[in-house]
Amino acid sequence: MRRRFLIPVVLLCGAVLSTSAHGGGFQLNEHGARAMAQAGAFAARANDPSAIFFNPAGLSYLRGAHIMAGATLIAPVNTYYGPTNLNSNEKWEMDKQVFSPPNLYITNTWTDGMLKGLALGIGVTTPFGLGTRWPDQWVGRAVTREIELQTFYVMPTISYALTDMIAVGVGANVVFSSVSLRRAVTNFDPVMDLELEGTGEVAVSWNAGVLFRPTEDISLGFTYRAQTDIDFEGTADFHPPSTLAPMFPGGDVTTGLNAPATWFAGIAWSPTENIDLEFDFQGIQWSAYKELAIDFATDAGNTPGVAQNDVVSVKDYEDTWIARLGAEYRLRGTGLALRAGYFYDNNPVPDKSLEPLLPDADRHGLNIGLGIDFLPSVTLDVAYLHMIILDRVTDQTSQPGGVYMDGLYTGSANLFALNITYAL
Amino acid sequence: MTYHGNLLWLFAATLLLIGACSEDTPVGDPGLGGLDPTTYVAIGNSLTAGYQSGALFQEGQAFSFPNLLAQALGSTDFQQPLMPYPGTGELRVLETLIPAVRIGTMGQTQNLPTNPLLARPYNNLGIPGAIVWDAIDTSSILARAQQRSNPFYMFIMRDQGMFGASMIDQAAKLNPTVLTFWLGNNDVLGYATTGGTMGTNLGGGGIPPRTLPTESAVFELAIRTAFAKIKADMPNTKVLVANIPDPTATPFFTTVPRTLPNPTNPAIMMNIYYKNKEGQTGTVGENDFVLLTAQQKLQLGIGLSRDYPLPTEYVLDNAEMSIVLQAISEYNRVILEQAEVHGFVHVDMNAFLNDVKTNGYDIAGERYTTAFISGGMFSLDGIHLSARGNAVVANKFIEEMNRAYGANIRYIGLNTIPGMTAPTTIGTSKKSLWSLGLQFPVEHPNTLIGLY
Repeated sequence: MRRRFLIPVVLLCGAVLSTSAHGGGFQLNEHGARAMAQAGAFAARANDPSAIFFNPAGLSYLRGAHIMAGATLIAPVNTYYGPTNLNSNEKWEMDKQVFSPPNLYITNTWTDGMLKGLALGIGVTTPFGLGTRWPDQWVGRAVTREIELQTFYVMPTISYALTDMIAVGVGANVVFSSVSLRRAVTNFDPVMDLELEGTGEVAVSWNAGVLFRPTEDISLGFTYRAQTDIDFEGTADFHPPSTLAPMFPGGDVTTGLNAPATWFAGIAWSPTENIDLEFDFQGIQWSAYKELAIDFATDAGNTPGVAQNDVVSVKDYEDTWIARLGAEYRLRGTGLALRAGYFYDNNPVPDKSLEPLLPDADRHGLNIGLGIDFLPSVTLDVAYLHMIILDRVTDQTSQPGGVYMDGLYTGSANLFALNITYAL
Repeated sequence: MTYHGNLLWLFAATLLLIGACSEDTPVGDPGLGGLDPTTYVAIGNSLTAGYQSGALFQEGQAFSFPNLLAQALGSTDFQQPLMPYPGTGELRVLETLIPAVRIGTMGQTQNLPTNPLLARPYNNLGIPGAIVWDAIDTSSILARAQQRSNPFYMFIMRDQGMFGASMIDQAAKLNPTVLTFWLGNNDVLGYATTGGTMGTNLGGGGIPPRTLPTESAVFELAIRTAFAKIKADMPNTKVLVANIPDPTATPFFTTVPRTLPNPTNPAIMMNIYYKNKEGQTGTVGENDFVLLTAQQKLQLGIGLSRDYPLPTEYVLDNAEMSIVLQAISEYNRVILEQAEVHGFVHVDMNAFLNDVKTNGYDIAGERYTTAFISGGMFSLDGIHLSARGNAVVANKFIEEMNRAYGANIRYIGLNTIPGMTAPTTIGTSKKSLWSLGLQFPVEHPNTLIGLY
């Protein structure tokens, strides 16, 4: 038995790769203003170029070529009261940040000739990501100060309408990503500031969908996006005082992230020609996210005198679902569409894994928006989503096997989306 | 458009309604309940004094658990006998952690308190080295200081005529509203930390004095007398008494392993040899404890062969540990029983620290353990608490106060307390021959006892 001097850097990196305030976990489901205004209940219609995300089969029922571009502004607000481990209700507000993940879709659908029913497209969007930042000196600084995760999915997509009733589509997902994290290491005086930065190796995944229109006013959609396993390579810097520098050399680190598989099943009904109603059920296989392992290239296991050590943080997220209800009402002869929607998002984070990196809770989404065809070939869509994140109280300190930030987590988020679609 | 207008109104109203929902915070407002924090006095030993890393010094005393507790309670004018750096004792300094822990000392120093003329007793009456009898002992502190080579009686009690002859007399002089009493540790640690070679017993009946833990009967008499006196002299004071922790909850007894890897083939574990009190040489077994002070001997190769065993004072063997644990269990029975008799709040520090030993102490996203240095709770001498360890103990007292007095006092956030001071140098020493991973400076087993 070698006795080695180890600082058990518990939660050294915590849940490095998480984020907050949009979809449960670190998922983001807002990828187009038209869909967002209808609470993302869109898989059974997918009748704009964001079909590349929502249901690639939908591309086949567009007409001609489109370019759709836009962004979603996300402004989360989170407050933590605690830690109750300290018998305290001290109020800590997460730094206010605004994120603006962009999206871009380019599609072409052949409506006659040999290629009739075929559609090709390419899209770029961000199904996972974003971040949280707490004040540098806040009570949970040893757990997290800041985290930011970004992913970009580039999705070349092909779709084919077998008949007017049924279409199928499939896309490749080429995933680019980056992550950064900062937290305090408080074992010693002075306190160290650990920074991790990493870039994901390009990962490849896929998605597929089917759209079925059995009658004029009923449409069914099913779409599936496979799990993406991303390997990050990066560097760690503890910013140690000089006398601790040899113990905390930082250096190369690797970690991995499992972006879970997700599926949508939707049904849309048009009671009249100018009204669409849609209900979608989304399943997310968060149980893929079991743990977060951070490996230091130089660690206590392979280098004498080094205190930094690999960390495995258990997540054990649970499979979960989101129910989505959306409606669109097109005013005849005006080129104006009014939209609204509601979703309920069941968060995947068990109490034992709840932490201020990702202060997650069940949430209600209230959505509203409109679309205007303000030129014959140009459509402007805007959407607003107010997310009510339910209060969540955790009391895990008495539970074995974890180090917890017990307290009351509250939050909400406002999201604004804008897209312009140009029909060529 | 009115139809859509209505929809919008409904939507806006829903938002407002939800936004107006109040937030229920999980912890009630802070409050003191039935506790009057005006004057707090602490009676105890080195653990109460804020002794750390082998010395009593100002920077450590700032984080004594009574001082932290006084701040948490909002007590006024909590005075301690602050000793300028490097204080009194032999302060340990972390020189390097690489490639092995190397701890240096500032040498033996004695520094008078900075406030020796305070015209009243100190609120912190923690006297390093004090045994339970000292609580009621009215004998000359000068005589005690000389007899035990312990300067702290003089430094802290100062003037028995003016401030009171015993520790309890001095406490009563301050008319405390809150009193903590944590004594008795040295009645067993004197024996335990010297590998069973020294003690605090009075002796008699064929048993020589100063060779064993204080006799249970003597301990019981001291506690009965002390608690009765506290009740009589300070009838309205809120009193909390803590019991004696298990020594195996400190790294002093648990850091050095019982076997060591063979330097030429680390897969083979080598026995450690020691001489027991009867002069027989044996190997360290799974119920024996090699003391932290043995590090340096082992480093020299002493203890690694039958011909050169560790001297008996470096090992608390199974038989000796049984004596220690038996004494603690009897002491703690008396403390509990007498606390109940007098209506004092009993703080089960023994169970608490054993729980920390087993499960760690998790607080607000961080975990502390009883491991040496890395655990964060113990100072460099391995037996006294670090600043954060003191905060853990203060939090235990707060927990008991909250429970007993209907108070709702906030705990102390450990990351507001400084961690271990980073090493003073970058490691230059050679790789440890035996891969002990730990080194300890020249030890003074004979003076250690005087310094608790």
